[in-house]
Amino acid sequence: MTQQNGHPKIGVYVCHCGINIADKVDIEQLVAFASSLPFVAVAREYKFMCSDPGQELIEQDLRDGLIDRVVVAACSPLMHEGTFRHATEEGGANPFLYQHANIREHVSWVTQDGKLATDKAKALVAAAVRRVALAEPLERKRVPIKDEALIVGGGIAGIEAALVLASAGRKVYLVEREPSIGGHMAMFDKTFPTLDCAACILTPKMVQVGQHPNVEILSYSEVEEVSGYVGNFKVRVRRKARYIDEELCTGCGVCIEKCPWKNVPSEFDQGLTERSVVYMPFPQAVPRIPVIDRENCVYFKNGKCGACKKFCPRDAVDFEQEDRIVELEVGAVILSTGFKPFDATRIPLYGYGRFPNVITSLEFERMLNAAGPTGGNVVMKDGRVPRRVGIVHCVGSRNQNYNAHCSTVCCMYSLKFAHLVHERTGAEVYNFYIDMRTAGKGYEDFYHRLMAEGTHFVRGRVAEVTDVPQVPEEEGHLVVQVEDTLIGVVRRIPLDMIILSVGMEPQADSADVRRLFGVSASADGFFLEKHPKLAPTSTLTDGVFVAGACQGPKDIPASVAQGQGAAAQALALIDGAFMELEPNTAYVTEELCSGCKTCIGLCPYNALEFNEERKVVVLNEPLCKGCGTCVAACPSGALQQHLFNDEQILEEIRGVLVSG
Amino acid sequence: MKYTYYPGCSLKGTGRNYGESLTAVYRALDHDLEPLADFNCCGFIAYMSIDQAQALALAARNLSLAEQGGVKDLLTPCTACQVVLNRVDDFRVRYPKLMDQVLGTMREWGLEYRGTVKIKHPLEVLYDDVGIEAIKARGQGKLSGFRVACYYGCLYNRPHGITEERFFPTRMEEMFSALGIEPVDYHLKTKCCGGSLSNTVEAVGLHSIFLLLQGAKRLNVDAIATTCPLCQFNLEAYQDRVSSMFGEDVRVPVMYFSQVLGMEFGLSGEQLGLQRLFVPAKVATA
Repeated sequence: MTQQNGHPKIGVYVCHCGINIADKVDIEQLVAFASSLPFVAVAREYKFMCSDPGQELIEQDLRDGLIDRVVVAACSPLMHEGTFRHATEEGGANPFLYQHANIREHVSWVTQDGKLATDKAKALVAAAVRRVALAEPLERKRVPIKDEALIVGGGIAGIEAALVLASAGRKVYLVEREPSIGGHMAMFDKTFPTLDCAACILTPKMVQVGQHPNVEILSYSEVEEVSGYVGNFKVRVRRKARYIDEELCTGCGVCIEKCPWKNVPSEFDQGLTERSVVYMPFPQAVPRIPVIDRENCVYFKNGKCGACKKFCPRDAVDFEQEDRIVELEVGAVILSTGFKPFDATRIPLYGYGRFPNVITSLEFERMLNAAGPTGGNVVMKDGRVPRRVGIVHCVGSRNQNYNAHCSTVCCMYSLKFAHLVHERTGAEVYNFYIDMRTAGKGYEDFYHRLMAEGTHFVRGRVAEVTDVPQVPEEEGHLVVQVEDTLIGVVRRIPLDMIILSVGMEPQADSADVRRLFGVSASADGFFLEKHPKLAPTSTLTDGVFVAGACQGPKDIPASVAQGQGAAAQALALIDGAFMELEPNTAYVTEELCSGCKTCIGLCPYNALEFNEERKVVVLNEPLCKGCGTCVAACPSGALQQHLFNDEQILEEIRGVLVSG
Repeated sequence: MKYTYYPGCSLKGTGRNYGESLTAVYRALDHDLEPLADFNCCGFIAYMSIDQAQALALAARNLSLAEQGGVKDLLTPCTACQVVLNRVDDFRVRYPKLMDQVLGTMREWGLEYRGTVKIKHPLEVLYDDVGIEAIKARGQGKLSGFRVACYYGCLYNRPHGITEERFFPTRMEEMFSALGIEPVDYHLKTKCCGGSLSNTVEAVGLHSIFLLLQGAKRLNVDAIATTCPLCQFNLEAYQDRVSSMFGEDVRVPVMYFSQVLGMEFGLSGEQLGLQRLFVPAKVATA
C-alpha cells in the first residue's frame, strides 16, 4: 500500500463520548495501540470529538503538517461522519481522506465485557487505519436542478403545498385524477373542533390555487411514468379526455342543464343523489370545466343525443377528443394522494348495506351539508327525524381483523357529528368508543363540551347492529349490542339511525403509485417517511416528498402542516441552482471491460448503458446511487466504486483480522 | 368422487337423519360419502375442560386415521366436531408445548399425525367442489317457493373457516336460490343456539332457542335449515316448551340443509330420514 500513497501520515482520534464509550473501552490502551500502527503519526483522545475543540484538534494537526489523513473512532458514521469530513476539509485536506470507526453502536453499547470491547475497538481502528491509507481524494459532482415542482393529489395537503411553492415564485404542476381538486375535505360539512364550515375555508384556497399564475392544474389526469432523479425528474402525465375543450369552456353549465340523462349516482354525494352524464362534481369545482362521463353517455353508445354539443354557446364540446400525454420536467415531487375510507360492508355484523338507516360517516357528512342530498337535514331513509342516533367509532380501525392502526380522526369527527345531530334534531346521541383520543389542540375542550351537552358515551366496541327485537321496546328500531366496559354489562340499545365512523386506509392503487415514484410503505400500507420524527415529509428517494393522509391517517391541521412542510423541503431543494452528489459512485475502467453486459440488467437505477462503438459499458454518473450491485457482479473487475474499491475493502478486512 | 366424513357421536345418535340425508344427497350428485372407519369421539367440550391434552389426542387420533387412509379433505357435518378437529392444527402453531404432549400420547398408541388433513364442512364442499351448476342441474322444482331460514349457527365459520364469511355466510342461500327455493333474510343466522346451555343454564339456553325460532317464525318460513346437529336438536326438541314458556307459538319445522336439498332432488322421505323429524315439514309437492 505504500507504493500507491507514498508514506501516508495518519491521525487517529479516539472519542470518549462522555462515558458512552469510555466506560467500556480502555481508551488509554486503544490510543497506545493506535500509535503503534503503521503510518500513524498522531494518536489522541478527547472527551467529545464532535465538539468544536475536538474538531479543532484534527484541524490543527492537519495545518501543522503532522498528518494528511484522518481516522476518528467514535459513534456511528450516520451521526458524525459528515462533521469530521468537514473538519478534515477545514484543516486543508480532501474530505474523503477520512475514515470513521464506529466504537459506540458497534462496540461499547453492545458489549458487556470491557476487555472484549477494547479488543473489538482495536480491530476496528486497525481496519480504519489500513483503509484510510488507501483513500483517494475525490470531488463532489455538481448537477443542475430544475426549479419546477410536481404535486400529485389535489386535496388540502396538495393545495397547501402548491400555494407555498407558487408564492415563493416557483412553477407548480398540480395533478389531480378527479375532475376537480378539493379531495375529501370538499365533501365535509363542518370541521372539528371549531365547527368552521369546511367549504368556507377550503374553497377560497381552491380558487387561489386555480387562479395563481404559477400553478398549472392538471385535473382529470394521472401520472403514468417517472424517470430521472432528484433535481431532474421526467414525468409523463395522461390527461384523460373530458370531451370538452378546456380553452373554450367558460363553465357556464348550460351543457349540464340540457343533458337529458340525469340518473348517474353522484360520486361526490356518495351515491345519495344523482347527477347528469355531463357534470361537475360539485358547484365550487376547480377548474370549472365539466366532464362527459363516457361510460354512461348515450352519444357514445349510439351516436344519438348530443344535446350538450347543440346547446353549448362556445362550441366547446368535442366528442372526438382523446387522452393526451404531457411531459413535465421537475426538480422535486410531492405526493399528496390521500386516503380511502374503510369499506363498511366488510363488517357485515354492522349491517351496512342491509339496513337503510345504517350509514357511513362520509354519507353523513353529505347529509349534513346544505348542498347535499337532504339539504342539511338529518333524516332517516323514510324522511322521519331520528329520535335516537348511535355513532360507532373505530369501524375498521384498531381491529386486528381489518386495520390495526388508529384512524386518528374518528373520535373527533364522531364528536362533531354528535354535536350536529343534537343541534339539528334534538335527538339523543350515543357514542360507542374504545378509547377517546382527543389529542390535538383544543380537542379535549370539545370533548368536554359534548359531555356537557348530554351525549351518552358508552365505552366498548359494538358487537353488532341488528333489526331483530328481543323486547317490545326494541320493536321497529335498530339495536346496538355492546359490552359497556365501564359498568361491566352487555347492553342492547334501540336506535333509529346509526353512523359508522369508518377509518382511513391507503388508496386502492397506492402500491402502484409507490412503485412509480420509488417510495416504500410502512406495514399499514401508507407511504413511508424517511424518519418518523426528524424527516416526516421526506422519503428515502431524494427529491420525492410526502404530505397528508397518504403518509398515514391525519386530520386537516396535520395535513396542512405537512403540505406546507413538504413544500418548504421541496423549495430548499429546487432553490439551489445546483446540487452536490456524493462521490461514492461506480466507475468503469474501460480497458478491463469485456462488454459482457452482466451489469446493465442488474442496475436498479438504469445508470449503465452499452456503448456500441467502443463495445464497453458506460456509466451515467448522476443516476448512480452507489449501491455497488454492478461492482459486485462485474466478472473482470472493470467496475469499481469510489470509496469502496476492492483494495480498500480488502485492506480493511485485513485490518480486522490481523489486529488481535 | 369418494368423500370421507367424520360422523362424530351425533350422526350415530340424534343426528342420524343428517348422515342419512347427506349420504343420499351426495349420492344423488354422483359422489360417494363414506364414514371414517374406526373413528372415536372428537373430544368435545366436556372432556376438553377436564384434560385438554387427552381430549386433543382423541381429536388427533381421528385425523391420524384419516391421514393413514389417504384422506385429504375430511368432511365434518357437525360444526362442534369441526371446531375441535380444527383445533389440532391451530394449536400446533399456537401452543407447541401442549401439542408435544398430545403427539406423545399418540405415539404411545402407535400413531402419528403430520397435519395433512383439511377439515371441511359438507356444505362448503358442495358449494366449492361440486358446484352450484351441478346442484342446479339436479333440481326438480319440488320446493319452488319453499321459504327457508338458513341457519348456520355460531360454529360453522368461527373461530376457524372462511374469514370473509365469518359473520355473514351466504353459501346455503346461494345454493337454495339457484334451485328456486326461497331463502328469507334471516339476520340471526350465525347466532348461538344455546349449545349445551339448554341443559345446564336453562334460562339462557331456552331464551336463545326462543329468539331464533321467533325470528324465523315471524318471517313466515316453511322451515329452518341447519348445518349442525346440535343446533337442529336444540331448535327442534324444545319448541313446545319455549312456546308456552314465552307465551308465543314459535313452532316451526327444523331440518338439515341436506334434507331440504334432498326433497328438492325428489329423494324419498325415508332416504332423507324425514320420519325422524319431530316437527314434520309440510311441502306442497307438485
